[in-house]
Amino acid sequence: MMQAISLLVENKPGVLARITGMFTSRGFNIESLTMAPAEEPGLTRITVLIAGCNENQRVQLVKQLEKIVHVVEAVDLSAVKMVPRELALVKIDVAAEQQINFLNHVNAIGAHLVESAPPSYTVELVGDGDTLSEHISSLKKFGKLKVARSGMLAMVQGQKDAKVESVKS
Amino acid sequence: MTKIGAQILLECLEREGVDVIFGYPGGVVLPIYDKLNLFKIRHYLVRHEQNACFAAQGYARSTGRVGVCMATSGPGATNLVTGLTDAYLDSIPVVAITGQVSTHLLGTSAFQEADTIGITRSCTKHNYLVPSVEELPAIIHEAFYVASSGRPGPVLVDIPKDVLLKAAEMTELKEMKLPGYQVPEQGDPAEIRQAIALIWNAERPVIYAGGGVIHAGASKELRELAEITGIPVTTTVMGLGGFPSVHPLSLGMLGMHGRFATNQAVIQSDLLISLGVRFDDRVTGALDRFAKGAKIIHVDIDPAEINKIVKADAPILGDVKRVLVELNRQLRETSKESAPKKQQARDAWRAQIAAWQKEHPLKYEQSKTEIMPQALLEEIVRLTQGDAIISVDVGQHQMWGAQYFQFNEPRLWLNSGGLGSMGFGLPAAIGASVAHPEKTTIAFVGDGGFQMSLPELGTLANYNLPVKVVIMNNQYLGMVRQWQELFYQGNYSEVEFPIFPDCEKLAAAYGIPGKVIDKPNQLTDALKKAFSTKGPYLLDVRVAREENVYPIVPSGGALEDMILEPKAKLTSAGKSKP
Repeated sequence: MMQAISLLVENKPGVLARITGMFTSRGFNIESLTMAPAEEPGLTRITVLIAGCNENQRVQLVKQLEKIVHVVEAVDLSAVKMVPRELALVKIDVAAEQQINFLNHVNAIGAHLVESAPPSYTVELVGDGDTLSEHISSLKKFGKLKVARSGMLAMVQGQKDAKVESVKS
Repeated sequence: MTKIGAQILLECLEREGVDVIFGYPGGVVLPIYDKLNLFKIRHYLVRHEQNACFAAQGYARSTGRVGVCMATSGPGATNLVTGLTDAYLDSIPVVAITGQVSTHLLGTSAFQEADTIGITRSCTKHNYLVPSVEELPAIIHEAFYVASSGRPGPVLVDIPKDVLLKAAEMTELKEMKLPGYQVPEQGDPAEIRQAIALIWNAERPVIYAGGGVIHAGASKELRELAEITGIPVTTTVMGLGGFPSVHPLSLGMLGMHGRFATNQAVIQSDLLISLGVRFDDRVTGALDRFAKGAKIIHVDIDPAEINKIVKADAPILGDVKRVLVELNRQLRETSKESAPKKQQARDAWRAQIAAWQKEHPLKYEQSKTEIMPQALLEEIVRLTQGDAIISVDVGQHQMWGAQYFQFNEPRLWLNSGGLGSMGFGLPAAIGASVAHPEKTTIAFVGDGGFQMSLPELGTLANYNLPVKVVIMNNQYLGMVRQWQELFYQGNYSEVEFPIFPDCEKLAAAYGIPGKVIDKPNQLTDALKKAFSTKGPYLLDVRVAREENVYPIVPSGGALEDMILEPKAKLTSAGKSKP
């Protein structure tokens, strides 16, 4: 079972190292991590996915992350409702006799063809992590895959300030 | 007027009120040392950078102000690491200034280059690599604010040499922008009300106070809380001095080497009022059997400490002093009505604790032939009357110190509580003595820790600082030996120091007075002489070698498993080297 933590941070040198250090010093391995500019200039949103972290550990982790001077907000996404999304690019070489089937399948799973240079194709998939994994698996029958996944992005649902809750718990 | 970065740095330090730096020069910090004589700041040249950081801590711990240390790049910076980690664990405000190789050389394995920011990231509250001279003033101001606000801690500022040399204008302070850094202050009124109800309803309450009380300057408020409610107070090793030792409600230290009555009181309490503490394993012992029947009030300024180890029934996030002011106000208001409710039960509770104290006081076997370590401590207490700064190392002498020394004020007891760094006592005493030249400062150390900090005798002699170094010398790593005796079947493995310098000659070599004693009848005179001599003094006290600290809670055991006294003590024969 994966758990996700979302962070809003100041984009300052070393901020990522401080954050990853907080995970590793507590013995957690990072499964995926996304980081890109947020809505305000100078702020960056990071989503971290970890495995095997129980609720108490997550509460402590979130509090410790919030103590990092450049971390503006840390939220345990496992404790709130959220919208998870991930992007994958899958490159595949498809044999000539399979190409029609392949293109039909791409349509059926809602993927987009972003590069077509037969026999090589690149498709783009968007969805939550489990759906992506399923769809990527389903492509295997057409040929050998190369996969690049973005890691999970997430947005807290609704307007409630999840931060307040995480500090008090 | 333009100035170079080094000058701007020193000006910024003066602006923060810095009067003292403990440091050690080297290649890349030479621009700073070159400008030092233009400023009022006094620089104390130590003999090792680790001791610069410990001295800065001694200054900070004894004053409550930010201590400052300085070192060059590479080895200078790496030598600070133990001191910074120590300050981090004990929440001591220290700002460390390190030099770094010039910006264009960063990451090239240049001479004396180390990734100081990377190395110290996990042992500082925050650290900065200064990217340009223009940003230096704001960073220094921020560094002092972060080090001293909220839960204090060490902050390191790493400055490349080219930044120190570049000319710029000194700028006025701008408002700090730290959107991710919040300092909780006042406690939540609803949480305080909840605590009030718990306090008046408790029959067997105990106050458990820690270093946070001292950092917050809340000793007076703690005393008021105890006196309004009649609740006894135990302190952690970091909280000693936060409540007067001689106060009738004082229970002394709890935990691994706490007194029987103190630990019993905690075990059997029905309310633990926890103030600026972190439920350290040396305090709680086995958690599943720690104060099981007690409700927990936990006041702390660090949200990450609340519910970290023990779930609080009434968590109060805030500055201990401000919370206590409000708590005490409400307690006074409600006392007439609420205090009598549990009066009888509470009287019985205090009587029970007093009975435990009578049943199992601290005790040791007196000797006419050997100086017992405890007798040494009692004599220091008698002669100083609690009016001395005592800076200790780590081990048996530290724990006896925590049991026997008496402090009626905060900031007189300096010790490495969290990290347990040997070699802390002497340099920390130097820092404290620099801050309090009028006070007797005692570096009370073991023979092991003394040998780790011995070069600082040079600093003592250099500045003629009135630090009295008293070595409790058993020619062992005493606490390690005690554990080997009690928990490793007496297998004394690599724990003895049969070679120890003749301290009279050693002191003389540094040009300071010194004395070695080993007879009980020499003790009083030798201590009096040490304390009355102007300037530094080195006193080597040869004590009974295999005395143990009791009580002791075995590692991994619960407080109730404490061992009170030696079980038929083994003789040395057969387990020690011939």
